[in-house]
Amino acid sequence: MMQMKKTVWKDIRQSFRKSWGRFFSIMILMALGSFALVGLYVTGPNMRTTGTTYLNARNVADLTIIGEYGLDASDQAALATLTDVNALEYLYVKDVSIAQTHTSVRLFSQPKTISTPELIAGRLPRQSGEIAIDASQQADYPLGSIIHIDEKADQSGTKVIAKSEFEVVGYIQSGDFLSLATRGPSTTGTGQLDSFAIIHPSDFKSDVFMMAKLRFDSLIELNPYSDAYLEQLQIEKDHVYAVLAGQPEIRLHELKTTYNQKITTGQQAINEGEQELDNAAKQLEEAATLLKEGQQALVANEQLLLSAEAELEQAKQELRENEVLLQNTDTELQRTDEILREQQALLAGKQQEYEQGVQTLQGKQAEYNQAVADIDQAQQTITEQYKQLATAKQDYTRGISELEATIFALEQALGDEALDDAARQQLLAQLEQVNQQLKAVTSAYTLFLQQTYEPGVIQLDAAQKQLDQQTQQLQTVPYEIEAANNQLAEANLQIASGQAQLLAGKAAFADGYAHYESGVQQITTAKQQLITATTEYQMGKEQLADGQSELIEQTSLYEEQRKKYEQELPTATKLLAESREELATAREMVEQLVAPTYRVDTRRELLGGDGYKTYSSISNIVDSLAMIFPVFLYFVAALVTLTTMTRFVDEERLNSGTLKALGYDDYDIIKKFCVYGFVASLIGTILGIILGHTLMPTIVYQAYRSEFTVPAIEWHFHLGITLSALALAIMSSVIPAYIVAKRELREQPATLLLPKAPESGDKIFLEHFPGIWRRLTFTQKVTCRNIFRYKKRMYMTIFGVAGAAALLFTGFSVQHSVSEIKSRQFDTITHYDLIVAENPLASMPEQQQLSEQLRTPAVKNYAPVYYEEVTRVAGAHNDTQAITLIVPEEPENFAQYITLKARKTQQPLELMDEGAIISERLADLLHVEIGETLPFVDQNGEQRQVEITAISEMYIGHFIFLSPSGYEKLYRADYESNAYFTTLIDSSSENTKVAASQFMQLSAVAGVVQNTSIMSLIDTIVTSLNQIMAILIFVAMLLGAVILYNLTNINVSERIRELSTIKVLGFFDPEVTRYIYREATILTIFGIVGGWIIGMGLHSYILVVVPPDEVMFNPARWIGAYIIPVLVIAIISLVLKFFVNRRLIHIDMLEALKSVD
Amino acid sequence: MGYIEMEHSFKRYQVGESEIIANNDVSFTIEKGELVVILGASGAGKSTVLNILGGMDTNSSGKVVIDQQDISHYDRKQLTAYRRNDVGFVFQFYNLVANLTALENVELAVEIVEDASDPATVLTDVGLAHRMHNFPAQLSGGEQQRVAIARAVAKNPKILLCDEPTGALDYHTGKQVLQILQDMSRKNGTTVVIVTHNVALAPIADRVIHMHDAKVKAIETNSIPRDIAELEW
Repeated sequence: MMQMKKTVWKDIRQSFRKSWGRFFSIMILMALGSFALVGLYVTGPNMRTTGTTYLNARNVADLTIIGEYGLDASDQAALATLTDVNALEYLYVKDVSIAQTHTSVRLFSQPKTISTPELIAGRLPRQSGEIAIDASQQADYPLGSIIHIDEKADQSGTKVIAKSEFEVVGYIQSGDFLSLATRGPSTTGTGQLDSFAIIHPSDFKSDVFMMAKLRFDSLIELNPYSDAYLEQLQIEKDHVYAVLAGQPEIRLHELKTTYNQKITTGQQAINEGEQELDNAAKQLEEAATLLKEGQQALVANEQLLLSAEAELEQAKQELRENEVLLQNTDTELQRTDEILREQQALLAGKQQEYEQGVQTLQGKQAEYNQAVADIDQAQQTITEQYKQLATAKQDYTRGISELEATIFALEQALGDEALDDAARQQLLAQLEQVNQQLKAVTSAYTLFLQQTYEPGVIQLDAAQKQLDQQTQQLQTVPYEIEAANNQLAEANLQIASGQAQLLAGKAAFADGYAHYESGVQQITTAKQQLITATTEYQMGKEQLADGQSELIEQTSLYEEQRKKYEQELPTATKLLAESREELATAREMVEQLVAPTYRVDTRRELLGGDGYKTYSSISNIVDSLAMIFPVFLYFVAALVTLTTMTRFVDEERLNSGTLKALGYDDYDIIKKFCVYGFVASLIGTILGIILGHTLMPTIVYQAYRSEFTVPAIEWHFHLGITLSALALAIMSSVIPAYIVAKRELREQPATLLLPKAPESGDKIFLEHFPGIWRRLTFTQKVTCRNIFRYKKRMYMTIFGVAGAAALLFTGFSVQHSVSEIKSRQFDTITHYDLIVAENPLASMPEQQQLSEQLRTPAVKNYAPVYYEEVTRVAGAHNDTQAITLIVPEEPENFAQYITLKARKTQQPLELMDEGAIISERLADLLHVEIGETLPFVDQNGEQRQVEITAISEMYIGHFIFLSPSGYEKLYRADYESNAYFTTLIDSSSENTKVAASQFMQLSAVAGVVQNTSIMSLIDTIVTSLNQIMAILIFVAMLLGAVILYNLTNINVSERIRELSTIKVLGFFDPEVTRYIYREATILTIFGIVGGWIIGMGLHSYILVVVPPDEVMFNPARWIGAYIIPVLVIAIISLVLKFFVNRRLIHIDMLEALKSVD
Repeated sequence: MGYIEMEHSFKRYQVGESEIIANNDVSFTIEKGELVVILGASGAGKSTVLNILGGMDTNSSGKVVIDQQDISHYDRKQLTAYRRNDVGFVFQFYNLVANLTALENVELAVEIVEDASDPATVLTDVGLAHRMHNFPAQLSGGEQQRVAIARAVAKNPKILLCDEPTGALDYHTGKQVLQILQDMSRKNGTTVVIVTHNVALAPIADRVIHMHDAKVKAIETNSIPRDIAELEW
C-alpha cells in the first residue's frame, strides 16, 4: 500500500516535470485572477481603513455647523439640547489672504478635541500672534518667519482678526482638508481656498463663534464609510436640523431687535443732535432777544439818566442862581464889611498915624538924646586916641634906648679881654642878634611914625572939627519936638469920633451877615442834595456804561456763538444727514435681513471636504472595478483552466488506464489531477493574493498620494477575500480536474488503454447551404469544419480571447474616457475662465469699479448672467448635488462662454422660452430624459421643477441652463443678472488666479468661481483610474498571452496525429502552421469581436458606476480601444506562432502516428 | 541500378551515454513496380528503414537513392517536397483526419500535389464510391484503411509505403487491404513497400527483406508471388 502511494506521488511529480508550460499557465491564470480580485477588493477597504484610522486619530467631526450669522448663545443653547453628543466644540473661523499674494488662508481657533490638527513640525500657537499653518506652505514660510495677513472687512466694515502679523510656529495637517490642492471656495484670495492655519483664540475679536464641530456617540464606533454610518449620520443631521429649526427666526428676531435697538439709539442720537442744534439755535435766539432787551433797557436807562441829568442841571441852575443871590448878599455884606473895615482901617490909620506921630516924636526925642550921648562919646574917643598915639611914640623911643643900652653893654663886655673864646663867641652872637633887633625896631619905629602916628594925628584933628559942628546942629532940636506934641493931641480927638461911627456900622453889618449866613446854610444843603443826586446820576451813568459794555461783550459773545453755530451747522447737518442716511441704510438692511441659514455639513459636504469625497470616490471606484474585472478574469481563467485540465486528463488517459488496470483505485488517479490542479492554482493564487494585498494598493496609493494628506495606505490582510480567492482557485482547477477525471475513470481500464476515439467529424450547418459551401476552397472548408469540431476549444478560444480583448478594450476605453474629459470640457464646451458673482449690496461706485475691472484689457470679453447654486439629492450616496443654474442675459452670445450641444450629434442646442437645458451627467444620475421634468431645490430652499428641453454635453459639474424668459416663467420674478462670465486674454491658470484675486478684492464682487477648481480632483481620479487601468491592461495582456499559449498548446497536442499526418503527407512547415493557425485566427477574431462587445458593456457600466457624481466620463469610444486589443493579440499570436512553428518542426511524426496515446 | 537503392545505411541514436544503432549497414535494392515486404520482429529496425525511405527521417550514413535521387542528403524542405510528391503512406492506425469525409481526406493529400488522380475515382477504385461522404468514424477499419490507401495513392507517388497496414484489421478486412495493395503494384505499377512483423504476408511479395537486430538478414525474391486469396494466417 505504501509502495503504491509512493508511486502515485512519483507519478504526480513526474507530471509536473513534464508540463511546466501547463503548470505555469494555470499558475499565472490563477495568479492574475486572484491578483485582480484580491487587489481590487482590498484596495478600497484599505483606503477606507487608512482613512478611518486617520479620521479617528484626528477625531474628525461628524457634522460641522456653520451659522450664517455665527453661532450665538441661543444657538449654543439649542445645540446643547442635542443628546448623543460625544463632543461639541465651537470655533472661530475667518478667511484672510496673505499680504502681497493671492494665497487665501482659513484661520481657525485651535480645536481641542474635534478635528484636531496633526502637527507636522514645530508647535501649535500658545499665545497671540502665533500661527501654525498647513504644511503645504512649509516651503514659503519657514518656522519663525512672519506672515502678514490681509483681512477684508465685512459689509458692516468690521474685521475679526485682531492682528495682521503672525509668527509661524508650526505646520499642521487637518482631517478636514484631506486634499492638498482642492480646498473649496474662499471669500478671499482668488476665491479658492489655498491654505488653512490655526491661531490663538485671543486673536479673534468676535462676539459669536462661526463654527460648531460635533461628534456623536452613535457614530464613534461606526465605520465612516459604511451605510450604517451614513444612515445614522442622516438621523443625527436631522436631529441637528430639528434642534436648529427655530433658530433662524430667533436669530433673525434677535438680530432685528439688536439692530433696531441700535437704530433706535442711532435715531435718538440723531434726535439729540437735532435737539442740540435746535437748542443752540433757540439759545442763540434767546440770547439775541435778551441782547435786544438789554439794549432797550439800556436805552431807557440812558433816557432816564438823561432826564435825571436835566433835572440835575436845573437843580444846579437854581442852586447857582441862589448862590448868585447869596453871593450878591455876600458881596454887599462884604462891601459893607469893607466899608466898615475901611472906616475901621481909616480909623486905625488915624490911630496909627497918631501913635506913629507919638512914636516919631518919642524917636526924635531919643534921637536927640542919643546924638548928645554920641557926641560925648566921640569926644572921649578922640581924646583917648590922642593919648594912645603919644604912648606908642614913647614906647618906641624907650625900646630904642634900651637896645642901644644893651649894645653898649655888650660892646663893653666884649671889650673885656678875659673872656674866653667860647664866651666871646656867645657874646658876639648876642650882639649880632641885638643889633639886628635894634635895626628891626628902628625900622619899625620909622615905619610907625610914617604910617600910623602922623596920619592918626591928622585924622583925629579932622574928627574933632566934625564933632564940634554936630554939637552946634543939635541945639535946634528941642523946639521942633514941642510943636509936634501939639499936633498929636488934635489928631487924638478926631480918632475918638471916628470910632463911634464905626461901631454903629458894625452892628448893622452883623445883622446882614446873620441873614447871609442862613442863606449860605440853605445853599449848602441844596448843594449837598445836588451832590447826592449827581452821585446817583453818576452811578446810574456808570451802570449804564457797565450795561453797555456788558451788552457789547454779550453781543460779541453772541456773535461768537452765532459764528460758531453757523460754522458748525453745515458739518453737523451733514453729519446728521449722513447718520440719517446710514440709519436709513441700516433700516433697509434690517428690512432685508433674512433668517440666517445654518449649514450642517457632513464630512463629504464640508467646505473643503472635496478631498474627503474624492478620497472615498477613489476607494469606491476601486470597489466598483472589483465588482467587474476579477469576476470576468476568473471566468476566463476558470474556463481556460478547465480546458487545460481536461486536456491534461486526456493526455494522461493511457497512464490512468494503466494505473487503474494495475489496481489503483479511482481516488489515487483522481488525486493526481486534483493535486496537480491544486498545487498549480494554489501557488498562483497565493502569489496573486500576496501581490493583491501589497502591489495593487501600493500602485493605487502612488496614483493618488500626491493629492491627499492621508497617510500611506495601510496593508491589511483580508481573510474573506483570501478564502474566496482560494475557493475560486479550487473551483476553477481542482473541481474541473476532479469532474473530468472522474468521468473518464468511469470507463473500463481496457478502454482507457486504447486511445481516445478522436472526436468524430460532422457536417456543419454551413454545408446545408451548398451555394456558400461549394464556393469555399478546400482549406477553407477544412478550417470551417475544424472550428466547429472542437467546440470546447472553440468556446474557450472565443471566450478567452474575448475576455482578454474586453479587458484591453475597457482599459483603453476608460483611459481614453477620462483623459478626454479635460480637453473636451475646456476645448469644446466651456470657454469662460471665471464666473464673477456680484455682491447684491454693492453701492453704485463699487459697481462702477467692477465694470471698470471688467473693461480692463486683460479681460477678453464678459457677459452678464444670472447664476444660482441649486441642489438636488442624487447619486449612489444620496449626496446633495450642487447644480449651477445659469441664465445668460443674451442667450444668442452665450456660446462664447459655454457651448451647449448634444454630445452624439454635436448639434448646438438653443435655449427655449420655456424649459431648461440640463447637463448630461445630471440627467444620467436622475434618470431623466428630454420632455420630463426635473425637480430641484433653489437657493432659498424652495422646491421648483422645470421641463427638460434638451440635454447638453458636459463633463464636469451639473448645470441647468435657462433663457431669461424661461427663468421669469419658472421663478415668476423679473430677470436680473447677478454675475459675469469672463474670458481672459491669457487663460493660463497663473493668470486666471491673478485675475480672480483682482476681482475678489472688489467690494462689488461676492465671489469668483474658477472653472479650474475641480481640476485637481479630476486629475487625481484620472491618474488613479489610469493606473488601475494600466494594471488591468497589463493583466489582460498577460491573460491573453497565457490563454493563447494554452490554446495553441492544446490545439497542437490534441491534434498532434492530425498534424503529423499532414506533415507526412508532405505539407511544408508554414502550411502546417497555417493549417492550425487559420482556425485559431478566425476564433481569435471572433473572440476579439466578442471582446469588443463585452468591453463596450463593461465600459458603459464603468461610465455609470465609477465616475464621481459631478463628473461624466466621455462615453464616446475611441478607435484605439478597438485597434489596440487586435494589435496586442496579434503580437502575442505572432510570438506564439514562432514557438509553435518550432514545436511543429520538431514533431516526431512517426511516434505520433504510431503511438496510441 | 534498382529503382530504390539503400547502400550501407546506418542509423544511430544517441541516448544518454550509450549509442543505439537502429540500422546497421542496411543495403538492399528494390525494382520499380515491385511489391516488397520488409519483415522483422519488433525492434529489428524495419520501421527505421521505412522512415528513411519515406523521407520522414534521415540516416546517419549511407546512401538512399530513390529513382536516381539520393535523398540521404536532403534537407527538411527537400524531404518534405519528396514526401509530398513521391511518397504515399499507409499506417497501421489509418491516421485519417476525423473531421474530414473520406473524399476530403483524399482531397487533403491531393490538394498539394500537381499530377494527382481524381480523389473520387481513386475512392471508387478502392470500392468506396458509396462511402465517399462518410466521416472516418462512420467507416469500418477496413474502409478507413482503404481511404488511407486511396489518400496515399491518389497523388500518384513513386513509392507507397505501408506500415503494418493490416495490424489493426481483422483477417478478412486485412486481406481486402492487401489485395488492394497488390493490385496497386500489379495493375498500376506502383512500387509498394510493406513493413510488417507478420511472416504470413511474405508470400505475396515480389521481394522479401528479412531484418533482424538492425541488420538485413536476408533478401529473397519470389518469382511467383502468391495470390492474396490463397493466403492464410
